[in-house]
Amino acid sequence: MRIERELMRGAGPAAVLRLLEPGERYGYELVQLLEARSEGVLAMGQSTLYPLLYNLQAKGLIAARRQVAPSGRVRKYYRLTSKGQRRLTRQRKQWQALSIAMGKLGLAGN
Amino acid sequence: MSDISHPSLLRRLYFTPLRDLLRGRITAAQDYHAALADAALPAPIRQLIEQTVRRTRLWRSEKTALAEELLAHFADGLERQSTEQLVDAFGSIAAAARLIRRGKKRNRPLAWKALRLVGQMITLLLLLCAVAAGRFFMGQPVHSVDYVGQLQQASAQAPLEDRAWPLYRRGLLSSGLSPPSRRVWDLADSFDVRPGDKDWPSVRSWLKQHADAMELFRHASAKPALGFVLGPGGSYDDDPQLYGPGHRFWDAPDSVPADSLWAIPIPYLTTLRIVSEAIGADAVLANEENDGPRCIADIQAMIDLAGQLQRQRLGFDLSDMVALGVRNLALDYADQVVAHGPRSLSDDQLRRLVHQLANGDRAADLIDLDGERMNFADVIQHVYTDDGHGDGRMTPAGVRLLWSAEEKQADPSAVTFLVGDWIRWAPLPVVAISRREAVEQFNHLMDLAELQLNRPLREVHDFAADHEIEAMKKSALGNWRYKVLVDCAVFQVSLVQKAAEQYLGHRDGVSVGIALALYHRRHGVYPSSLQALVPDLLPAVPVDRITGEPVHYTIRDGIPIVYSVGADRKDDGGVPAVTDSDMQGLPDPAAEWNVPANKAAHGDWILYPQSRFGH
Repeated sequence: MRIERELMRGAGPAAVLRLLEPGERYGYELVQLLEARSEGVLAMGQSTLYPLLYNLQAKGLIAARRQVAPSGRVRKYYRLTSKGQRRLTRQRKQWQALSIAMGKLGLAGN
Repeated sequence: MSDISHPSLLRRLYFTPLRDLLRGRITAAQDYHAALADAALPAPIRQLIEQTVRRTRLWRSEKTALAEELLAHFADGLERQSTEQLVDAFGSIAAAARLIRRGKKRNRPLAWKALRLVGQMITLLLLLCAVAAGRFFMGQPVHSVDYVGQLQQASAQAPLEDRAWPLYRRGLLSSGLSPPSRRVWDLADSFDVRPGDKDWPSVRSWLKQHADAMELFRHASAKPALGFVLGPGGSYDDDPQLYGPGHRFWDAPDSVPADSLWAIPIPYLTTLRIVSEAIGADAVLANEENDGPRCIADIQAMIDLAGQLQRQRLGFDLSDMVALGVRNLALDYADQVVAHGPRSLSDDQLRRLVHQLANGDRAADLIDLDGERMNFADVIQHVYTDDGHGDGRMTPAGVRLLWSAEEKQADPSAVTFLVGDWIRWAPLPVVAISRREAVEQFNHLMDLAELQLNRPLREVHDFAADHEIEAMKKSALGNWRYKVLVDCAVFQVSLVQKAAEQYLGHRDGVSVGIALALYHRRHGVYPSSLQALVPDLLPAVPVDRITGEPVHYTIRDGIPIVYSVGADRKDDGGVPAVTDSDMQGLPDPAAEWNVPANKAAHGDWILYPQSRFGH
């Protein structure tokens, strides 16, 4: 199931921040992880992911570095900044509260 | 362009970052086309990247970074997915390019963002200016009242037999005092001589030679109306004989509308001023010749001429100012005739002279602001649009008209409004007050001025109108904002009032001087006090116009002197204030009102006989 655009607009950045919490990742890796971990619900095309990454970078929530892999491939790795970490912490609480509230309304959980 | 796989030097230079170039290296590091061509990717993916990157319309360095990232992305993807799957998963190229462009631009440096903001603001400002300019240049003044026609009608209203101008004209032509002649000005200077002066014989000779013209002038002055028909097709346009062929009174700029009051020539003001000089000189000659009736008739003629000028309704205060000048001349000659022995005048004639001179006691009796109001109303309808509810905005024609009002003063040869003038005058339509504000402000100033002119100057402690006008002129912004008032409608009312009060003070002095002359004839001596003249020879002792107390009187060397204590408010026994030799003929420095006593000229203001004290 794909979720609607408006919902994705709020969920997408939070999901990317969460995926970067353990450590830095590159673009294709993020695409794969989003699809796998959300079982396809939060899957987003590259045309959505990269603009999202650039926006998060502009807001100072993530930072990027260029690195040449042993294969010779030049990748861009993204990592969470301290500001991004704080934002993620706040969003996590908000999503939890939202989830509980939606659950009480019978819209989330069992 | 040459082959990408073997780029030319020019291409490599083009794609080399400035930083590398400055280090002397030609790296072509921003040639993402070459990187794509070299990449071991399927053609559909290379095309997808190429199109996406191109459509972002980003900076070259940004495109290079994006291409590099997408190359890595698809290379990673090909390890797990097919080309078709990757191309499908990418989504819309146009949407991707648009979103990527937006995201990348957000990452640009703060300085670029600031510059972009400034650029946007400038663009917005230019757009607003363009809209405002369009609105301004479309504005047209609406001439709803034909003031020129009204004036023309009023000046042509008098029956032909009541008009003075045809007689003045005949006298001007027969005496050679017609305006084109340079000799007029020489003659005007010559008239300002007195018996005993070396030029007096030639003036006397000229006056005798043109006695007929003088008679015509006296006859003309007795007519109730001046009868100079103003405006197009009037007395000026119709008279090449008097004014010469192709005559032009002034070089009206092309920015002055032909149907405005400003375009009306008023040459008669100068001409009749010269006529009054000639009549005055004739009064002196008549006194010398013991011809009392002619002497009195000449002075009467000058006073009547002043009245004609005042009654000839004109949209400016100029008429009143010239009329006041003619009255002053009449007074000067009366002063001279009485002070130097009015031997030609009978007692009755002297009493008649006092009666002739009595014409009001306030500046408002001599200065009428109705003409100013009419002139301004005409200016307003040539400067502003009219929304039908008393408001409107400045028009291009209005700007040109105001330009001519200001520029002609600085450079009389300026007649054409040029592009440079538009640039210099651009602030005017932006900041100028609206039509309604201009009218309200003008009426307010005129009301203040009229209030002031109706009071003796000594009782005016706050020159409110003058102060408000000065405040308008003080700043550059105020000058632009109130330009329609500053340039077209504003005169210094305190200066006008001072001129009127100086005339009235002198007039009071001459009246007392005549009463003293009559007393002397009757008793062989002058009285010990002016009270002795009341009521037989004088209804009351006039007040000192500076203090409000009765005027002072003394006898020195057998000559009676009537005086005001002057601006220093101190009785100096009739000793006049010291006047610089260069200031001879100008108003007495002691005749001031708005000067603090401790800063005023020392000495008294001689009211009679001024002709003996150089004024």
